[in-house]
Amino acid sequence: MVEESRVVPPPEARVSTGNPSLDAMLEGGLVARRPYLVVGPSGTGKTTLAIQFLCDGVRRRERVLLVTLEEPPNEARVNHRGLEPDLGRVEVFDAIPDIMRYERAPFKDIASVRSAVPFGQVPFRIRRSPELASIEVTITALEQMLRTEVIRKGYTRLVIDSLTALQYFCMKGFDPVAGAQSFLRFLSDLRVTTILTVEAPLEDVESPERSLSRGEIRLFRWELDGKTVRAVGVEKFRGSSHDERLHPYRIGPQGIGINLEVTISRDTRQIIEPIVRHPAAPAATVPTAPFVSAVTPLVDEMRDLVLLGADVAPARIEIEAALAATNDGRLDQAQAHLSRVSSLVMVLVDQLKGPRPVASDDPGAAVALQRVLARADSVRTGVPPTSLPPASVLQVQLAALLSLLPSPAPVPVSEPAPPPIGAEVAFPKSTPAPPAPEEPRPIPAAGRAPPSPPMTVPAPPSPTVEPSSGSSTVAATAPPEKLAEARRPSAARPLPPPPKPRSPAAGPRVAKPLPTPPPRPGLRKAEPPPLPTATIPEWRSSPSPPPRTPVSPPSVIRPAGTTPIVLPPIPTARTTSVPARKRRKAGAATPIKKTPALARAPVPHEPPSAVVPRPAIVASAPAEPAPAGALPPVPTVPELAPKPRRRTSRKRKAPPVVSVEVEPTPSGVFGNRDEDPDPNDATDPSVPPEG
Amino acid sequence: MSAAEPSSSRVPTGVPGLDRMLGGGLIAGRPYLVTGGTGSGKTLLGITFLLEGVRRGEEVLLVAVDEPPGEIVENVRPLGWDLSAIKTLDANPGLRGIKRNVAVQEIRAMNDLKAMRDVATDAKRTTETEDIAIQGIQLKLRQQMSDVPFRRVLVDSITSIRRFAVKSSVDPQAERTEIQSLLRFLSEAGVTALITATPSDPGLLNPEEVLTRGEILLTRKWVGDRSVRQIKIVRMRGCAHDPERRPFAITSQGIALG
Repeated sequence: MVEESRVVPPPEARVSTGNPSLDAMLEGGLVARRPYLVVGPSGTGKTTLAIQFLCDGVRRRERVLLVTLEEPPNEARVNHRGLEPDLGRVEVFDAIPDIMRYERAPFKDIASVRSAVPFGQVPFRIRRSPELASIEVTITALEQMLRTEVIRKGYTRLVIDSLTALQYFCMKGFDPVAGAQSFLRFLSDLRVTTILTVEAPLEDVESPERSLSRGEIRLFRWELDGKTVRAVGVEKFRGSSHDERLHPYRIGPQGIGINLEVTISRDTRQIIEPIVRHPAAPAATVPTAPFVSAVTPLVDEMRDLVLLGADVAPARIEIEAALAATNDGRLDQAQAHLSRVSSLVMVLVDQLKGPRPVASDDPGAAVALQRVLARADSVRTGVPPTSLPPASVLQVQLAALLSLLPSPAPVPVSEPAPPPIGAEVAFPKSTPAPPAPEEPRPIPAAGRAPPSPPMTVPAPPSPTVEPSSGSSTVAATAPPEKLAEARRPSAARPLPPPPKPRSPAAGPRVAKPLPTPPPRPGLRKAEPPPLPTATIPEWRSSPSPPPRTPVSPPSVIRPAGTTPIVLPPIPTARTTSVPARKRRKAGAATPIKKTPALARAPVPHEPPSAVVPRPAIVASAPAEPAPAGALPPVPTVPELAPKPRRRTSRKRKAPPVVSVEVEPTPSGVFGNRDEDPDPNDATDPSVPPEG
Repeated sequence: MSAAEPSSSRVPTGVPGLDRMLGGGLIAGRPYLVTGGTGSGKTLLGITFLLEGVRRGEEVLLVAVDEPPGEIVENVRPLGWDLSAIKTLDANPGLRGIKRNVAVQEIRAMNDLKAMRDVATDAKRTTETEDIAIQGIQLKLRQQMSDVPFRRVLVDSITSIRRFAVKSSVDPQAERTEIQSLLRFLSEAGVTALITATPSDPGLLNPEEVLTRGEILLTRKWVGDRSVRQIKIVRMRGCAHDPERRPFAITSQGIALG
């Protein structure tokens, strides 16, 4: 997706700072995925401003991280208690070095010792420095930690508090300016919207690192008639016009309150008559981005990994633990377990990278492998943020996820021996993924034949998805975002574009799905699911590699997600309830999830998962077939186009956020969605179902 | 997400007017900066803070660098204050004269805390001056903390510590790290600390300004032939506070505010 975005720059996505007045000064918010500086003397509220920014992300169901080098997390928590409960979900990484200088203790790398925890779990007492070992925080270790964590947890907002402390304490042996420069560059490459706080002396002196940022928000503090006056100004903001004046603000329990009605002279520091009443912050036009359940991405991964025969037993244990924690109402622990699953997945993927024999044998496995690898590659460039849905939804989703995984002892799926074998083999061989894939591949082999036709199809599907938004490429990369957006609009978007592409593509797609199904049955069940998986992979790959296109079947699934159309083929297995799909479609939240799912949507798994979610799937399936024409989705199309990227949606201010949450709330829906999402996603792009 | 009360307990400063400005007092377990020129009342405020602790039965410590502890005792005599319960660590290199030229750390380790009542009021001769190192103070404090759980510490003043320490650490980064280490150490020990400093160049950024959680500014102006003292809370994290500059006076009762 990233690549595509580069090719066709979409309207700059904006990220709200969490402060409507500041957003107004920035004329919409920060430009996404760039690093910004918040500069000011101590006591001006830099940390507060940054934490507000993070809390806004939490409200939008993004995962956010605060790296604190200055204020101990326990104090930060107490100081910003007015921002609870959002604050509780802000993850904080305590990067304050242990410096008991009189101890000549061995140094440990911070990344190996500490990890990010939600503020809600930060104790009220200050952390005690260990007596026997010191944690040294170096810029290199920190960068490594950030890179890993951003990939693993999908953080979309980051705060470094503060860059000054980083320069003071973590860049020994570096030139502080050069160090800051390279760190800012690193953050740019990370493509996460970042705020770095910078301590400035009372009387400001330009420091070189400031020239390196994309934008700088300055906080001033001075005394006027014996009273402390604080003012904020946007000193620099590349890529956008902005309000250049200074406005006074106050720090309160709820954060920073800026008075846009009053302007303060930069020279005299006296209040200037209000020149023009600054327009109130523009109401968020973009709907909030729906959030993706943290389980959703795992569904795709697990399906593919099972297909590839990877050893998912450890992951299963974690998922079971997460489910148990959810049942106990301990969502924090559930999240921790899910994070561990994510890291297990990354390990498995690394193992898969080694031997690539898999591709040769089983087409299905090859496609799955492609999907897995593409996903791993894309993680860094941006995966939709995930978050935990309400416990009730989470339970359903986790149960569905578990149903995808082979039970511990009976490794192979209970179903048809042939496919299971592949799966089984895979299990035992954590590393030897290749062989396992091979087995599955044979099954897909049947699917292969179809793939070739789908190949042609692929192009069409992408258009279907993207047409509304813009270029086909965009669709590929943007799918998740677009999807999310589309979802909001719900079914309406795809209508115009989809029809064209779909009609042509539809035929091929249908064919594809049909072939694929056979393989799947072999894997797990005779049902169509296998086929979809194969197709799905292609879809995903389609964004990057064309070959995946054969997967078109998944595309079919997507249509269903987009619009409730009835697709004959898919239904065979799932024709249970159309209504479910409709619900999903209707629910804005559902669409969102679907989008991400699309990319990964491992159709095959869905069938298995179908147990719980299937109903939804079935429903979607029927819908899909009908949509094959893609007509139903058309209405949404217009909306899609306007909504460029996920981020845009997220960026929207609080109001949207609220809406987002609402959407997710439909737990039942989500549960279905999770599993379904993939199919739906798939359907959207390649509406033409197998039917 | 549990209640936030635990760490928000307030520590009265001993100056009721200042406590009102702070909304109840300083937040326990954090280091605060008191800045002001010479004669502005920093040390007096700090001693008041320590005595309030004594009154409450807490263990308190004075780390004296600027003024010899004996002089402090003399200076507060007109106020009728009894400082005997205040433990003091004489960190002035000049007062270490009798010691041999030993490694800084060891000197610190040998320099025992004394109760104020034991401090001789006659100044000692300085035969040698040695650098003091912040880590030496920290080490000493650490040793004492295991025996006596100090709740309040006054460091008077960080400016002097830096002035002396600069000689030993040419590296500004090392100095920053040492100050950070000391403040961190005090926080971890659960000590509420006041650290005095003379106002720095507004164009400079001192680590203690960054690392302390709040700052109280004392100023003294001459209006005609009268000196007007004012106190102001420049910044204070985590608590609502009075942003105004308030006049105060030093009377026979100590600091009178509001």
